[in-house]
Amino acid sequence: MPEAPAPVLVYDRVAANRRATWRLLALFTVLILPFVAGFIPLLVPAIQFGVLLPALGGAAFDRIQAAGPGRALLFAVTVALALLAVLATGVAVAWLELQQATRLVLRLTRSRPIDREGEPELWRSVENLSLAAGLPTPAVFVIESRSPNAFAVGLDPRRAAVVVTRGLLTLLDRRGLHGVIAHELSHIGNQDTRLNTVLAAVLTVLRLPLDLLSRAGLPPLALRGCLVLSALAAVMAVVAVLAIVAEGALAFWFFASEVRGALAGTSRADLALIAMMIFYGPLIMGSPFYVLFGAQLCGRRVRAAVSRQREFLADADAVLLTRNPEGLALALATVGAAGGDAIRVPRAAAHLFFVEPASAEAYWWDRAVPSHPPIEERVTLLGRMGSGIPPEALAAAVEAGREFRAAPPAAAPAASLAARRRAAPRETARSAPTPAALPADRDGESARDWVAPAGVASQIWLAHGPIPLLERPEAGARARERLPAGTPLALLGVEGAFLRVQTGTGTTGYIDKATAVRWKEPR
Amino acid sequence: MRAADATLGVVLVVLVALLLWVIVVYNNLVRGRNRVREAWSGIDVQLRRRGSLVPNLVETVRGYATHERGVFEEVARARSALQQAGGAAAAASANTALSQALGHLFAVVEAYPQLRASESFTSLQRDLGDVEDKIAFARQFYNRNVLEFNTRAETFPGNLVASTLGFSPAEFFESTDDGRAEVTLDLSGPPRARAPEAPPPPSAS
Repeated sequence: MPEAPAPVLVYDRVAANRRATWRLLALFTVLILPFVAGFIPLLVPAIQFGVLLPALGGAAFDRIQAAGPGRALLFAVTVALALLAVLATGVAVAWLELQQATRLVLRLTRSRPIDREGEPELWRSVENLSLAAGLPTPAVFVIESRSPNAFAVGLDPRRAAVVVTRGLLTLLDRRGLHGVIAHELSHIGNQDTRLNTVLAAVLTVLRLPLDLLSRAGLPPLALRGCLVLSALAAVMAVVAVLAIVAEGALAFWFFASEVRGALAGTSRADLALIAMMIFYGPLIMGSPFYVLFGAQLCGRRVRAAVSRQREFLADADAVLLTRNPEGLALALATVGAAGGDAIRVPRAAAHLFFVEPASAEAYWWDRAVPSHPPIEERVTLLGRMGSGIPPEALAAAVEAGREFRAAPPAAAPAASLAARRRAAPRETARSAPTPAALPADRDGESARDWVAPAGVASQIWLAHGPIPLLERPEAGARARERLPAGTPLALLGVEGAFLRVQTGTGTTGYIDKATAVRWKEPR
Repeated sequence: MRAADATLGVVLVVLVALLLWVIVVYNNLVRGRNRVREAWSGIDVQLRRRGSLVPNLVETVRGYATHERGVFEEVARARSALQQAGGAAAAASANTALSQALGHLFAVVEAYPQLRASESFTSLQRDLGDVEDKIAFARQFYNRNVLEFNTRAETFPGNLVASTLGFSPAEFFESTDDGRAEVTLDLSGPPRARAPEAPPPPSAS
């Protein structure tokens, strides 16, 4: 896709994005048609015997099927019904996805809403930069993850949200934070978030079969087997079609009269059957590949082309807001080196983020099509906007990021927890389900998602309640409030036999280390 | 006769095209003007907020520094000038004047450590700083919109339509940061030396 010259005014960009959204939806329809066709082999018998047979009654069904044209009619009706069913499902899923998109993404990424008191600096930055961008102030969320990253969601600027991770807040200085927030606000202002949400919804639908398959508990090897087998079948289908066409052409070329004679001797119904089999056979063979992999790979390609350009544009707009290309460029370099990609997110939402998130467990087909342009390219472009970025500043930024990744600062909760675990193993062993004592991946996938590089997650949920939130790390201290069971808490650090935590409303306090906590949001 | 018809047709087509073009240009200008107005309201809100913070600040300072009537009057004058200012350029210069007056007020405050440490004063100071930041950010958005509108209204051939239909270019909100520079100078200057030994206690308010 050639990179079209970017419109200069925000309003024009919004209009361009709206057109892109419509084009995308049209493309989605085109992509989903063969996808639907792939389901037809499964649906046709189900509809014929499950819907039409009971609806028409056995005798009528047999009578219609006995006649040649009747069978064709029956088949056409079945296919139409199947198309309708699959399209309706797809549209319903996409629509639900769109309605729920913002909330869903926030929930899946465990974003916690914050207010002015909870994070005054972050809040003020968002508020001020929104003024400069002429946007209503979006809601602000924080993800308790050490991996520095950020994203914006929302179908329109009035219901948008900006989300940053705890790692980003600790790693970046004010200038860098401003750069990142301005980038995210530009996504909201250009209404990339809407385009992105539509993209995410489309991709979710296209990925549905593969996701269902991998959720069913199949090991990666089996998945790969599916891929290989379905690809083989698809190749065979293509070869078969080519062979049939070639054979037919050759037969007509050399034995025209014999073929005509043979055709004349065959009944019309049989001819229709043969034609149907020639058309239907390869479709059945080829469809699994397209349904499982082909459709979403195409979708991913489209997304890569769309969101690449959006990222460059948001970088440029962020510079317009902060008037400081260096801040954003250094933030990009730092975050890139600090492993902003370590965050685990649903793959369909990957393109929302500030830097491309990736995970060790991502399948290779996820890594093959990146949703973001490379960081170096973005930094170079930003360098051209201002008076250039001093190489030593860039090197220092990368170095800071690397240090952050290698050894978390002593003040960070993860590091202090890890240190404490080494220093006092007996104590932690006694107070059984404290975070430090719990193996990080004991609670299945969700715990692994939020494991910081040091091996400790930083968000916990109270297992029982009510638990007093103490003012000081002392046994007899006054309680700020009583927390019911299931309260989500951000882990800030350890002091003696107490954990320093923060609630969703921004109150900080201490809870006893022996308090039973969960890694996973209780349902 | 035929030739006349053709000429008439061409003239008609040209006239209709011209009319359509004027309509498009006019609509764009109106849209631009509305955007400028909307952006101005962003600044206006913050200016009002700033204006409403000033009396509280003056009251708080008056509780400690009763003798600085000159400064209080200057601030009050600057504040009412800002509230009465019409138009972006006038508001900008009134805002700068208020900044200067507040600079003098803060210079006076330097002499009263107890006031500087008081809860109400620090929170007011923080709020004022926040408002000033916000004015600066809102100014950025406003000026960008003004630039867009003025460019549309002043470039050829749009300017023909703009001048005929009475669109005048919008005013920029230009802030000269002289006032702030003066504040910093004053803060590090002599007032520290003349700290009175017993500042009067705040009034019971």
